Amino acid sequence: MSQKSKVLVVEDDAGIRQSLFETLGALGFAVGEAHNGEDALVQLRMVNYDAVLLDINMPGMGGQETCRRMCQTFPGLPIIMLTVRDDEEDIVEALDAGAFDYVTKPFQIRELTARLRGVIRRRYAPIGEPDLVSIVGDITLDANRRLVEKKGEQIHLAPKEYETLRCLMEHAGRPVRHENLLRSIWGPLYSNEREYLRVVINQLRKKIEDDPARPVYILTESHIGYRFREDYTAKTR
Amino acid sequence: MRSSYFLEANDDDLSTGVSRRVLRLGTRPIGSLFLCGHSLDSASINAASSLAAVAIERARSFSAEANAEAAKQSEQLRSAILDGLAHAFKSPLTTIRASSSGLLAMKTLSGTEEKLVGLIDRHAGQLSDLANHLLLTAKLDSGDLKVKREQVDVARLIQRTITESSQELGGHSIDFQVSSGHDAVYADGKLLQMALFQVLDNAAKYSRPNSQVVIAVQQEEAELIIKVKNEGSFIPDGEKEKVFQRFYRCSGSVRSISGTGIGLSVVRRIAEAHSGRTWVESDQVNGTTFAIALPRMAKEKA
Repeated sequence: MSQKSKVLVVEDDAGIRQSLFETLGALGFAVGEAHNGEDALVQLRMVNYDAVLLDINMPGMGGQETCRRMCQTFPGLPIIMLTVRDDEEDIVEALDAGAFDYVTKPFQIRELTARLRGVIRRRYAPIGEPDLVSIVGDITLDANRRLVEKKGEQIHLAPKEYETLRCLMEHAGRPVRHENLLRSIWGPLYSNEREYLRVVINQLRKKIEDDPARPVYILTESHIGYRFREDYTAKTR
Repeated sequence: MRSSYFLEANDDDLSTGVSRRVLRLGTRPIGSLFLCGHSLDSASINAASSLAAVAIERARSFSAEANAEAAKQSEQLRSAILDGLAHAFKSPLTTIRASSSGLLAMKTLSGTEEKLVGLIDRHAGQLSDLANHLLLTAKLDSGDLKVKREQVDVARLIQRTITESSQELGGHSIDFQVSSGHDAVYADGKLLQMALFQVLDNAAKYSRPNSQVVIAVQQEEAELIIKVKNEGSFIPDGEKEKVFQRFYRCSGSVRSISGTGIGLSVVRRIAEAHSGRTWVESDQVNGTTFAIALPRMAKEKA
C-alpha cells in the first residue's frame, strides 16, 4: 500500500494505548488514539480511519455499546476487539454486534498486525461478484461447480461438509461462531447442536488437512467457533 | 447434674427443695438445669427449663451463624483480592508484551538486544499465564462457578486437549488408549478441558524429559475415570492429599521445577463441581498417576 493505513486505538489504559501508538507507528501504521468510546465516535467523524482497535472493557459507554454505535454510524468499518481471556460471552456479544475480529490481551504485536492488515485488505478488496472460486493454500473451492480440490485433486464432500467449508472459506481469516454456522447450514432450530458441527469439522479436517490433529486450515477458536486460515499471499494487492 | 443430662432424668425432691430438669430442644437434650432450695411447683420449673433451653439454643445458633458468615466473607474477600490482583496485572502485562513483541517485530535490534527483549517477552507471557490461573482459581473459589453441563465425548475431549497443549507437552510422547464403548459424561466441557490440561501439563513438567505420558479412560459402574500416568516424580504418601491444596508444592520440586501450586487445586475444584473425585497413585517404580473420576449418572443428579 502506498499510503499508511490509519488505525484508531480506543483504550482507556494509558500504558497500552502508548505502547500500541509507538509499536504500530513504527511498523507502518498511522495511529490515532481515543481514551473512551465517546471520544472515539467523535474522532471517527473527523478522520477517515481504515480500522479500529477497540477495548472491550472501558468506563463510560463501554466497548460493546461503542462497537454497536460504530457499526451503525460507520458501516463497513472493520473493528477488532481487544479482550481478556475469560470473557468469551463478551466476545460473542461483540461479534454479534458487528465486530470483525478479536485479539486476547496480552497479545503479540505480529498477531495484531496480521489481523489488522487482514481486515483492512478485505475492506478494500474489489467488490462485485462474491468470489465463486476461493483459493487458500492448496485448497480450492469452486462454488459454481460445487467442487473442492486439494493440490488439483478433487475431494469428495458430503453436502453438510461442503456447506460448512464454503461458509468458513467465505469468511476466511475471520472467526465464525458455532451458532451462526449451525443456523445457516442446519437451520434456526439447530443453533445449539454443537456436536453436529464437531462431527462435520472432524470429517472435513480428515479430508483437507495434512495432519487432522494439527489443522492449519480449519482452526478452532476455543468456545467461540472456527476460523478458516487466511491466505496472506492472496490475489488482491 | 451431669447425670440428669446423660440419663435424661427429670425429678423433684420437694423435701430438700432440689429439682433436676433436662433442657430439650424438641426431643434433643442440650443441657440440664439444677435448682436447689426452691419452693416452686413442678409446672413452673418445666416452664423455666423450656425458657432456658430456647435461650441457650438461640445463643448457640447466633454464634454458629456468625462464624459461618465470617468464614464465607473471608473466603469471598480472598477471591476478590485474587481476582482484583489478576485483573490489575493484565494491563501492565499487555503494555509490556505489546512493547517487547513490537520491538522484536521491528527487526532493528542487535543480537544481544534481541535476546534480552526476547527474554522480556517470554517471561511477560509466563506472568500472564499465571494471572489467568489466579483468575480461574478465584472464580472457582467464589462459589458462583457456573457448571454448564452438556454431553461430552471424553475421548474426543482428551484428543483435543492433547493437540492444543502440544507446546506444553514438549518432547513427551503421548500414549492415549481409547477404550471402546460410550465415553460420554454429562459435564462442562470447558472446565473439564481445563482440568485435563492441568493434569497433562503437570505430567509433562514433572516427569523425566522425553519420557512417555500414558492416558487411559476406564469405565467403572458408576464412574468414568481418566488416568494420566507419567514416569518418575514420586510423591510420598504424606503428600498425596496435600498436592491438591492450593499453593502446596512438593518438597522435592519447590526449587527444581517452576510452578505455582495452583494447577492441581484447580483440577480438584473442577472435579468436585461435577460431584467427582481426584486422587494420585505414586510409587518409586511405576511412576505417578493422577486420576479424575466423574459420576456417569450426573445427568439425573444435575
